[in-house]
Amino acid sequence: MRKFVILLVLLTALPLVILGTTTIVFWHHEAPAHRVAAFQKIINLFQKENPDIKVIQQVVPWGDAWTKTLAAIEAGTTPDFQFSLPELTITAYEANAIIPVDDIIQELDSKYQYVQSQLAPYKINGKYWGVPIWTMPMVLIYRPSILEQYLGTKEPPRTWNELLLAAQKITLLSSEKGDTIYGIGLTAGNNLCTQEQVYTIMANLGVKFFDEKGNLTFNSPQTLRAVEFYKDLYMFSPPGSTGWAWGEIEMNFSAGKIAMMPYFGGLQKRFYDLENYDLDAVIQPYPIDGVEGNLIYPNDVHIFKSAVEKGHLEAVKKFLIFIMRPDINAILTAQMEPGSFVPVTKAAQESEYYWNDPIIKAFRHMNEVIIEATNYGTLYGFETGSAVNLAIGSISGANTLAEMIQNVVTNKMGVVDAVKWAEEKMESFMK
Amino acid sequence: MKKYRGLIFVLPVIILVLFIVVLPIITMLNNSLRDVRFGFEKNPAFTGLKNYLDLLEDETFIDSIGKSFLWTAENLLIQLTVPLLLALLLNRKGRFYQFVRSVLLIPWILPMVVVSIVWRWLLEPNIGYVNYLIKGLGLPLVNFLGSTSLAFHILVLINSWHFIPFGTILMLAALSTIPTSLYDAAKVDGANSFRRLIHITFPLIGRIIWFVGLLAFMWSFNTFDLIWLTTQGGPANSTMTLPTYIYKLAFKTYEAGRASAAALISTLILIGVAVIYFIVFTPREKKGVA
Repeated sequence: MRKFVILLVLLTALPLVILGTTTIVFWHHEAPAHRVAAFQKIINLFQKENPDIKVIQQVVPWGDAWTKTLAAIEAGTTPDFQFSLPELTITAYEANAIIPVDDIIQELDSKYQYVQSQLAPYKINGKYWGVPIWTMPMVLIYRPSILEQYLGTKEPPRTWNELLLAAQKITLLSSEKGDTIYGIGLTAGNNLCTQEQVYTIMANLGVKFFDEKGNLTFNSPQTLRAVEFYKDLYMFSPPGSTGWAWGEIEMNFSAGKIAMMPYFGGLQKRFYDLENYDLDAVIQPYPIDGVEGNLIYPNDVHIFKSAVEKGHLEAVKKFLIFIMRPDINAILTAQMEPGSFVPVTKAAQESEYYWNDPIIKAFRHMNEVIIEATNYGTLYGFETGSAVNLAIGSISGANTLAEMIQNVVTNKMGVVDAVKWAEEKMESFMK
Repeated sequence: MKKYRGLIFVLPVIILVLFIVVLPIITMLNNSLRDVRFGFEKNPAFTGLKNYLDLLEDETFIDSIGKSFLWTAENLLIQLTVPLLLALLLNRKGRFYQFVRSVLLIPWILPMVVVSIVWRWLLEPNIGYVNYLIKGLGLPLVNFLGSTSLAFHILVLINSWHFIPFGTILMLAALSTIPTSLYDAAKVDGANSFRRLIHITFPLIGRIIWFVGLLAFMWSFNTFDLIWLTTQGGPANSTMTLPTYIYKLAFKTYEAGRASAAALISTLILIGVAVIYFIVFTPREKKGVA
């Protein structure tokens, strides 16, 4: 009888305890186990400081992100918030499923000082719809030992001419010696990796996809010149790269088959694990009449309307403010993907929590270059400082830039025709 | 009640088929006549045959139909002849042949995702094992999946490699049903191996060859996973078959309306070819022969 009474009391009390706890759910798309573990780490730390808020992470692989997001919006089963990219945030915005986050941006900016360019992709019609959490700058990564062996110096190229000459020399000299080392690693597969590399080259000439009014300005002399340069440089890239994505280019670079490539800095983790420190980076070389520029991909969080409907908004805001704290943000950046996921605020970029990470420390110069690159980075379609044309989501999703490059390097089309083709494709998405 | 008992038992399956086959087809037809981007908007605008007309002006779509037929033809050529040859070779008693018949199944039981990724790595020009062997022979490296002229045919070979064990097992099963007494009698009558093959083997396994051909056609025409996981229809659309293009339209450019129209056209093509296949190629039983 006594046991029954105790059980009854506990069962009655349990709902009261649960009612006192807010449970928020978020989706993210970083499926590798170590990334899931990093997310859980910050969740555990948050819950320790906020025992009245329970946080649940759910992993949706990137390949399913768009369809699952749209299906959830339609079914009314969205999580409270979601880690995202500009294109996905635009899709959620177009589906009228998310809320503006100007207040959160303001608070974080005043506390931690955003790198202002990282806010651009999330400003739509004068309001912010995504909270940038980390960013991914592309720089020229290289193997100093290969440069020294074939160029006689560890100093990387700084201009387009130097880059082209260096790539040519390394490829030809290594071939003469019977090695198969290519001066540059450029992909031409029909995928996002190719798009990112192409755009990094385009950024050096200030290519703009749209003007301030959202009119298409892609087909320009700068674009033609950038594509021509990519084609010239591609001659010194491994021939199989017409079918490459991230996996192949990373494997070839790590295997010492490629000397340099425009890429993210995330390979430092692999090199660190192998105790190989033959890896460094430099700001993407640019032509003498060009500009310092590179691709940069800020990742954000957007908040669904369902969070407001369920009364979870304050809990979600608390969590977002928490993860932007430099010590916590260092877990999402330095610990999760050192060199690839980079802080978007000055406070986090300068934080000792970031720089004391063992891998960041081991490749200090490389990471200093990557942090510097956040000041020059732009993202295709957002060069004017905001999202002026929402067709960029479809343009990017269709891998238009990648297909254009494939047409050029396989000689299916000349540069002028390929750029014109890409322009027409973009126009069709704008309709 | 007794009259309807059978119907009652079959009803759950009918309901299931309605939901997973008929309803999606109706939805697809509806989407193909509307301006649908993501596939499940509320009240998308009715556009009539616009999606179909747009497709007819789309060079990549027209090209992908041709590529699908070429893909199917090349696959059929290999997937009908090689399994039969292997079956004829392996239709013998003995532990060695038993072992080979078991090992032969390995490509078939591997999931296509595994097949795609493994072959993609094996064929990688710089660090793949195939080019390592080629280099060892003193030959130049081959860009298998990055070449617009080679990628298509290499994928045909990989696809066939995956299907051949299944076709072989079916052919072996058919061969095992042929009474050996027929071959003995033919030998006594002076028939050589070739004549036994033409006049005994082929007629008696004709139905299985026909069935394997039908399966190979349907599966080959609808191949998506291998192509998407290796080349994504590239390089430069050289491997962009109809299923791959439909997927790209639906899930990469979010043009669900056009993708639905393309899928419907694909369905009609398959139905048309299947009808012709049934009419023209169905083995007929000769009068007076059991």
